[in-house]
Amino acid sequence: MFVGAWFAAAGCNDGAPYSKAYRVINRTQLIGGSAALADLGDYILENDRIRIAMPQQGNSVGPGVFGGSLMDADVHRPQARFRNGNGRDGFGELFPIGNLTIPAICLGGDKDKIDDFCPQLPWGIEPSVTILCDGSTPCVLDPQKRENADYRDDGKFPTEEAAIVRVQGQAGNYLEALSLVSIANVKTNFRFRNDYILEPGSSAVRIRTLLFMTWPAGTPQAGAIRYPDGEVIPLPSLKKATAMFGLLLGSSYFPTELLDMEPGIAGGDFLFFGDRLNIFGEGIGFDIYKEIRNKFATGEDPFNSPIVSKFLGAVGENVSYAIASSDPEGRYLLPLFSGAVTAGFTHGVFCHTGPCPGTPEQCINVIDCNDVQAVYYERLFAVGDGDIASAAKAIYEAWGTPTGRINGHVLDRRTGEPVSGAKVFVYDIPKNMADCRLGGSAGEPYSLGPEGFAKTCLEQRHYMGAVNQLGCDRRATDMPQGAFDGTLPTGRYYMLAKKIYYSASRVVEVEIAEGKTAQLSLLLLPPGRVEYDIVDEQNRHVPAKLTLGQCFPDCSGRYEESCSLDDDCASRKCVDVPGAHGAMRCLVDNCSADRVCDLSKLRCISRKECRIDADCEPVERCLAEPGEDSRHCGCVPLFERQKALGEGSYAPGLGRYQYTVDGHGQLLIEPGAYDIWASRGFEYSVDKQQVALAPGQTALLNFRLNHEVRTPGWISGDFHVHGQNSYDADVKHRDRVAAFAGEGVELLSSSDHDYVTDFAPYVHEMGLEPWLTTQVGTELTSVELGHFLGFPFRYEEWRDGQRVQEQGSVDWTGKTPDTVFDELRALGEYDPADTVVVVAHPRDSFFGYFDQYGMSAYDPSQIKGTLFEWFPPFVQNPLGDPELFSGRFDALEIFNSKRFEMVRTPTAGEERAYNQARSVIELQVDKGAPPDLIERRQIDLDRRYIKEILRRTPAEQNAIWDADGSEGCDLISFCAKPDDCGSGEICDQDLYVCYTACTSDADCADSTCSDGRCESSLGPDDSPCTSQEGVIDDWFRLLDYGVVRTAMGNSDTHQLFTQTEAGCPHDFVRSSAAVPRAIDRLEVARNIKAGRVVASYGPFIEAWIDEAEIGQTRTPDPGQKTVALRVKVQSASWYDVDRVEIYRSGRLIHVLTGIGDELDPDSQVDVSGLRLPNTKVVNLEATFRDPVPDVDSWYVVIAMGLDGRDMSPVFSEHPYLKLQIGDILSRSFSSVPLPFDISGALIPRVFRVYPYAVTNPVFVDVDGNGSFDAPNPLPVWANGGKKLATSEFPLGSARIGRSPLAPAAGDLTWRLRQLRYFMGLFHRAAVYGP
Amino acid sequence: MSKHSRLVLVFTSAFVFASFGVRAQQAGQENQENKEVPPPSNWKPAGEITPPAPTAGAEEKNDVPSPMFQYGQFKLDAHGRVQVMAGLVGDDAHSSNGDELSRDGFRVRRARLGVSGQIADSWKYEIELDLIDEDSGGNALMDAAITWRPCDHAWIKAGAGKLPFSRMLMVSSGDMQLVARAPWVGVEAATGTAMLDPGRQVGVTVGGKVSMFDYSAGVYNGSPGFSVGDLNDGLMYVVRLGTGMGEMGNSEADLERGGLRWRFGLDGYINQAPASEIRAAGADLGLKWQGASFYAEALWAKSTPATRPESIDSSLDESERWGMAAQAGYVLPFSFADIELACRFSIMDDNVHIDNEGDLWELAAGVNAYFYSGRVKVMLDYLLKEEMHGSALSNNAVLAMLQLRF
Repeated sequence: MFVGAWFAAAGCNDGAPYSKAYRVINRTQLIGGSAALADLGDYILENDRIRIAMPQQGNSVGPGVFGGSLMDADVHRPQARFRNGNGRDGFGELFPIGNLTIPAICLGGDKDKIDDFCPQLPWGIEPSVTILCDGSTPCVLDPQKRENADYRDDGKFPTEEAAIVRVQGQAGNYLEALSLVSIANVKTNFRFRNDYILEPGSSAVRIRTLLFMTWPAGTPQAGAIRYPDGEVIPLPSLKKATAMFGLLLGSSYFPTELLDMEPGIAGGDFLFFGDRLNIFGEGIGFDIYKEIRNKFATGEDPFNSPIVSKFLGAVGENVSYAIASSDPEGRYLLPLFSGAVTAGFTHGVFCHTGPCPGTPEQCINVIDCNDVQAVYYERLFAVGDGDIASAAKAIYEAWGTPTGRINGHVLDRRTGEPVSGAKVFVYDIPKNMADCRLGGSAGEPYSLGPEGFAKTCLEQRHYMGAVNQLGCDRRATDMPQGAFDGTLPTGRYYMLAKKIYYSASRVVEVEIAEGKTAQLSLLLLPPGRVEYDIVDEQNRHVPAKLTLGQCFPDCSGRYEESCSLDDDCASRKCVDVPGAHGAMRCLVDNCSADRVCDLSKLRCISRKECRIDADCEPVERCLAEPGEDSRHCGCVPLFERQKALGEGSYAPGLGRYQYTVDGHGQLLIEPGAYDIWASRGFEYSVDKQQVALAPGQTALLNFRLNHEVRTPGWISGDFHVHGQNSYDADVKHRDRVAAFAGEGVELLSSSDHDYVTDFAPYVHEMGLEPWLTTQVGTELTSVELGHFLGFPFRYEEWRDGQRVQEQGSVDWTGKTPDTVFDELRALGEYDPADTVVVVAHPRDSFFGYFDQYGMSAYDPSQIKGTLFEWFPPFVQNPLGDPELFSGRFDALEIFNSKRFEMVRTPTAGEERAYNQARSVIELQVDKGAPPDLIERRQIDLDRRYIKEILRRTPAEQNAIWDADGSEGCDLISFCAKPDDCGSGEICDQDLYVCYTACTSDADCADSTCSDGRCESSLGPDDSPCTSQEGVIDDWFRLLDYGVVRTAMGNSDTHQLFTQTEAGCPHDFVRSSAAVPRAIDRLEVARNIKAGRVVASYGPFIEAWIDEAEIGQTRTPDPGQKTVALRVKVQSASWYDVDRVEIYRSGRLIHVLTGIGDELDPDSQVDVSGLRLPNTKVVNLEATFRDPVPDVDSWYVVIAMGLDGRDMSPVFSEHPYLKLQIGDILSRSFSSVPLPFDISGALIPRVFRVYPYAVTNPVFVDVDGNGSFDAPNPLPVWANGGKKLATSEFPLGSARIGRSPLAPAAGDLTWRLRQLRYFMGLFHRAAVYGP
Repeated sequence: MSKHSRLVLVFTSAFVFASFGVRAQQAGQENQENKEVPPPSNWKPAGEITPPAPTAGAEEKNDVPSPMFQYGQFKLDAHGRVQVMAGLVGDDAHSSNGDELSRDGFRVRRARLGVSGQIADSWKYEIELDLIDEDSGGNALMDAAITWRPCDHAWIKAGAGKLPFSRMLMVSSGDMQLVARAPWVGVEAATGTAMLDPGRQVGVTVGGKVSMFDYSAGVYNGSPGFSVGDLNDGLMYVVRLGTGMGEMGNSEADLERGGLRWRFGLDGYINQAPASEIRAAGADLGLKWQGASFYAEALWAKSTPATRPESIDSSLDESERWGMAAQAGYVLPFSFADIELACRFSIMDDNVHIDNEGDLWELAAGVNAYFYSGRVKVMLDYLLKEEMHGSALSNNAVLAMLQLRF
């Protein structure tokens, strides 16, 4: 006992706050969590409140590319079950930015990487991450040292108890392409010093950045500090929305408020939140993206009119974060925002030589940058335990904001039981009606009270505007008692509670007094409940999906002859044609006699009049048509998930989805009336029911699904799948497996970003082997060479007693395509030759291999080189050498996710019409149209035009096949005033488009003259739009050059629902397996390499030439005159196929629709399965006798359904108009007064999922040599050969071999041309990341 | 509740209370006898070698001379205990962290019911259920085993129950001097690990005694879940060797107040777990003398991962932990009850590679009152827990427990 007592005294911990920094020597020291990335050798900075981790000097294993970033963060969790690396990190990555540069903390010297990977400037500082203060000894910084000059300047030294990790290095670029901004004189030559300072007892780390001005590369002192004796000054905080281009470019390129402003300096951070976090803006709520869309829809651009918030927050699973300026008056500006990539700025100045010419207020953010040695700025990064309030508390503490507490409970209104998991939202009380709703008057004081706030303000603003949020039972150890507790700044607020699947509580007003605690309870009505069973045609309970919502489509049909009465029609349905000004036509549909199919919404609507809602079905309302006295039952989705309340983004009307692995389940949903669909992927039928649920009521439902599409000899597989091991996905393994089983996909191939994942244990654990088998793979996710899939891999976690980083995925940094292909193959489960390497989304801008290397869509032997090749003075990336382009891949994705815009090359006419129509919509802003209306119209436009792009006419195909890419589709020139257009052009003031001026048709090369302008200045409508390449057209061209690679379609799924569901699209692969558990991965790999694949968004196609199947070659017999081209197309009964296109060596030879073969009017082929309405499973089964071609040829079949029922709601459309980085930058650049527009033409990007499938080729070997011989010579890169054809600047004005700088000195036009192409690359970069 | 369930409940309740009544009556008589002739006359003098007790093997706690039911060689006896706890705990206390209570309040800690006896000579059986406890890994069944003891030198036991590892773990919760075991037991239950506390397992144990030494060794599944079988790639092997003088009895307290008795044990195991191979070793020493009792134990375990299913939530590599405990008590006989003062100091490091809140010590002190030969026990403990590194948690506790057993 005495010994024990002595031990006790010696080991006594007084619980005093502490802080320390150390390097990870054992993985048990790591933070851990679903987004955790740190590993051995990285750095931990922790105190008694929080822990953060930074990667060592080297390449970030996260979305960043360098070391020294803030990579993991969590609250300090002393509880036993969170120790030893079992924390709750949910954060992606953060690294500081100075203008658009970041600290380049990297290591070179790896023998597998190219020699000059990670080069250092001669006078630059060695990149380093060091522990400046480890917390064990007093932390005293030497103020005389240059790198501590900022502390000397403002005196804000850390305390002696602080722990500090210091990062130092030269400025680099996250994307090499970003260095192009130096063309516009943006300051980019910096040396970074970044300190992470953690004080004991604080939940926030100070991120303090010091930027030294340095000499640029190419100068004798490259990398050295430019003004070593100059001042070190603080970078003023940004206190209001500030045009970022103004700061970066100065008055030369941007209309700044004060004249003669020189390019300045902006400081902040790049933030990669990832999909695990729900991002929150103070004063906005969780739907920041809606705020950006509102700006965009109303003509503003987020870059120059950025989102402004006091702080940015994010909520994950039992962990939360907040980041803000250290200045209480400072604001967080978000010019670029998405979950994947967000740039936030907190500080910035214009540079100006001499005294600032404005008022003191105007000059707050203006300094004389001459002879300045360095500038510095500081942010706060706080960690909370699961809600915004707990993270923001540390920010408020650091700011010294007076605060008080609020606590209480959320309870079930009927039972009084606690409701755990609810969120409590805090809103400022509006001061006037302008604060209440969009379009409200600032002169009208707010007087609606809490109830009016909910009805008048919140609903109209989509529940946006919350200033804070508290979670119930938020800590991982909390017992479920519906309790919330948090700290808020003093003041009066409105509060409401909401839990997903529960209705919101009423709004309650509370007052927070300094140092006091306010208390309240909020009540929620209980949800309705659905219990269900789903069986197949054999009465087996099957894995499936349940979809709940309102106004789901349920019909298809077509208009026929004109009519005036129902009796005029065989169908007895004579209806008004929408938009036809009263014209009536007979409607043939599949609705019951008393209903007709609304062909725009594809839903049966009642023809009976009604007086009240009760006269209609539960899911319908009694509606009055505009201008009509009578009322009819109709369906209007009343239901909308509120993203601002953190409920995810669903298309209007969609309530929720659920997967079941055993055909049973139950789910909760807000009380109301719903359509409910049970489904099981492409091959099964769906079963639909309707239900009305009262609060607390349970409905019991039974569904039956039939396996309709017969695919013997084929299996379905998805080879591009992300889950929790991808930084930008948050789908747990079990959920991922359940989703694939529920969608009826039989082979699940993992492809997490640079991570090797094995789903097999989860399939086994969940007992799903009868339905699903798995294989292991990865997606190599280079930042600027493109992305590549590799499979099937062996799975290896440990080697020689050491854990294998990322389970052995390839470190691609500094490596050539050939090297990474070899390394991918070496990971193969079988012989490297049996490993499949797939080019993922080849035309996806920075993430697409073909785009990155500039492979010509018209002559693939021409590799134009990357951006880096064209601008060597600015961008130095030797990996961009065109000679490094390699054809040693096996397949390419022609379908990726739901991105139909990447499937086919649009014609110039389609592109022009779309952009003009879009301009017309955007101009409605000037007429006061609200953002929601504009967005809805843009979505409708996108839906309409993507069909035009996907539907290829023979004339269009001939035009693209005969094109050489030299002309056809330049970009539309938009204009704001006549001066914006070039010589000989006029600006259409209504459309803001430049047209060629004319007096007669003779003045117009390819169009007619009308109203003094050429109707088209873009060349023939059918010619291809050369700024957009469709991958199918790329693939056709590769076949024509003998580069025979397999076409695949994969979902690239990152979410569980709505945006990219599992298996949409997926591949049908030839296989001898009769059941999923018998799938032989080696056989699948070999069949994929052999092209025995059909890529599909639903339909299943089989094709034969005589006996040869897809992927095989048919050699006609001697003397054979014709070949039998046999085609069979199937689709499940719930979606339609209405068009089949058959190509032979790039030419359309058959176009089959419901009325016959467009290219053969005498054809006797049965096309009844393509006619709407239609529930036939076999849409087409036909044999064509085609003459034996003159030369070796290939045949490809494409089936699609564009006018009938699409794949919704089983596979939903994107819930809102997607803004991509290119859109934002295009709009932003439009604010720069340039002689001509540099933005790229836009393409549709929001649409439903249309049934669409493509076969791989069946070849015909006419010359009898046993293989397909292409008409064009094989490119030298195709099989590893090098030396490429000429590289050409895409816009045709500069060529390699002639210094790009030579004509550029002072040549603004040339610079802008480069920027324009740069924009083009950004144009298709999805805002959601790779 | 179905009619059938109600009948079972009524029958079971009647059975328990009837049994308890009979036992209480007998116990009262025995208690009077004990007070008249301390120490008990049937107790063996110090120095005589006896079989180890308690053990996880062939303990003979059910070998009572007067079973409830006997037919030929078949004997059946019922036993059970209920522990009701009340406590005041610190704000940071939580059962998910190994604390006994998450909030101030009450808890039924255990409600066990079992039968045991013999089928034939040398063939014993035992079954024990826990009606509420979740510590068993989801098994309502706590013990279910059959033992064949042909002679003192050897016995073999097959079934589910405790392993012959760690004296602290082998002691029945009903016989403990303090309300809770050392903190590592709670921590491991909270984290779902099984290094210092492998829990109950299904397997086969052999044992016996040779001269002054006793031994037991066994092979088990190495994972919880009695009904699902072995889910591991390998098995768990456990061995324990012991020696000592005198009869220690089942209870940690020296309620018998006999002469000097002691026991010393060494044990260890290798568990080929799914994610790793765990090796553990321990040593313990127990002394009793004239109402005073002392016990000390040290345990060490190391987990070395081999291959394991990929999981992003965990970064566990090799981990090594140890714990030590020293415990003492003294029984004061009073006319109305035996009163015992007990205390324990325990210390643990849940990972020797890092200094964090898992490095903690605990000082527990308590007073116990034994009525009716210990069949009714009232305990009052104070637990002082101190984290040696990292954040200090407010998890001290005052715990009271009432135990009834028959």
